[in-house]
Amino acid sequence: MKKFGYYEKLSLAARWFLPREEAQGVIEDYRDILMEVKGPEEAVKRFGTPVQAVLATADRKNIVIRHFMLVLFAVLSFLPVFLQIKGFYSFPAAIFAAVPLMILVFVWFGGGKSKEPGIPKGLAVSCGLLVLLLILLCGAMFYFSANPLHPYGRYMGACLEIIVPVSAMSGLMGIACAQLFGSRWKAAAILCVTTALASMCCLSLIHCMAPIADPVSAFRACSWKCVLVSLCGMAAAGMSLC
Amino acid sequence: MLKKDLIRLCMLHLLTGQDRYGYEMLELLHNAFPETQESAIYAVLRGLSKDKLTESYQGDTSAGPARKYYRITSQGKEEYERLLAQWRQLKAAVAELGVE
Repeated sequence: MKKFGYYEKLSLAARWFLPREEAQGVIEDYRDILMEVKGPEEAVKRFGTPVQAVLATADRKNIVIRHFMLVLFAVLSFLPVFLQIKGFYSFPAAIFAAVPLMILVFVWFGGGKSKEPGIPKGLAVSCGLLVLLLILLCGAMFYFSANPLHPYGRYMGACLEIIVPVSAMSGLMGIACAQLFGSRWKAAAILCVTTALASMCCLSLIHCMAPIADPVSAFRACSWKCVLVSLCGMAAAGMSLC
Repeated sequence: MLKKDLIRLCMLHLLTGQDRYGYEMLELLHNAFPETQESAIYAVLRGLSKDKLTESYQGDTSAGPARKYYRITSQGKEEYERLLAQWRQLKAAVAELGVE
């Protein structure tokens, strides 16, 4: 209650439960109202907890739809992880989850030009790090396909196994941030999904059971696929940041 | 007539006299309906705005902090008349039963 006051909590709750424009209206109204209230304890007594205050204005049907969408985003984000757990490293299956997820994120948070002013510092840093990770991933794939006997090559698979669930989790966090702090955060979510997809592309080749006649060429082809996936993801993220 | 409609009627009635700011409305309504939480009263106030029965404007800042004032619209006046007629009907029906 001390660090996050009643108004801040109410703002977050409004952004979580209400459509963006309605949330803004409720936040502005409560800012005026809470100026007349003595403290957070009195606010809780008079309006209920911040979540209760927001829920009083919310349309139940809308809340159900919003949460259904979040569950859908979570399922699609974690589908590659589920495949990984099952040992089914399929790049087409990962695409099957990632493409609808990206389209849904775009549609849900609005694909047009954002009305919010400026790009938050946290978002810029997150996107920068994710782009760097994608470049490193593609670079490593090219390097190890050219140097298949390099001793560090064996760690590549282990790193990718970690990157997939971390990216899925981060992607979901990006979606939550887009809901709470502004639609531009969908760019971070899209980059996370792209990272998971590129990793899955490499893992599908590493765990391929079929005999590969020319592994060097196969790895090089996979590297180009990673580059293509990364470029598509970066373009979509760039559009999200506009 | 539901309690929510009764609160709507009271809000519209308060606004027919003069423009008022949100907190003032909440206080007046909470005094009349003490068992109703103020967030629920605010939800009704917001509902009136959404249904275009009231409109808001930023008040003068000379007498203190900037406040959002509400005023009744022509649609709101029609709704007020409708709710008032309903309320009078209900009151008469209840009085006929001998309830005072």
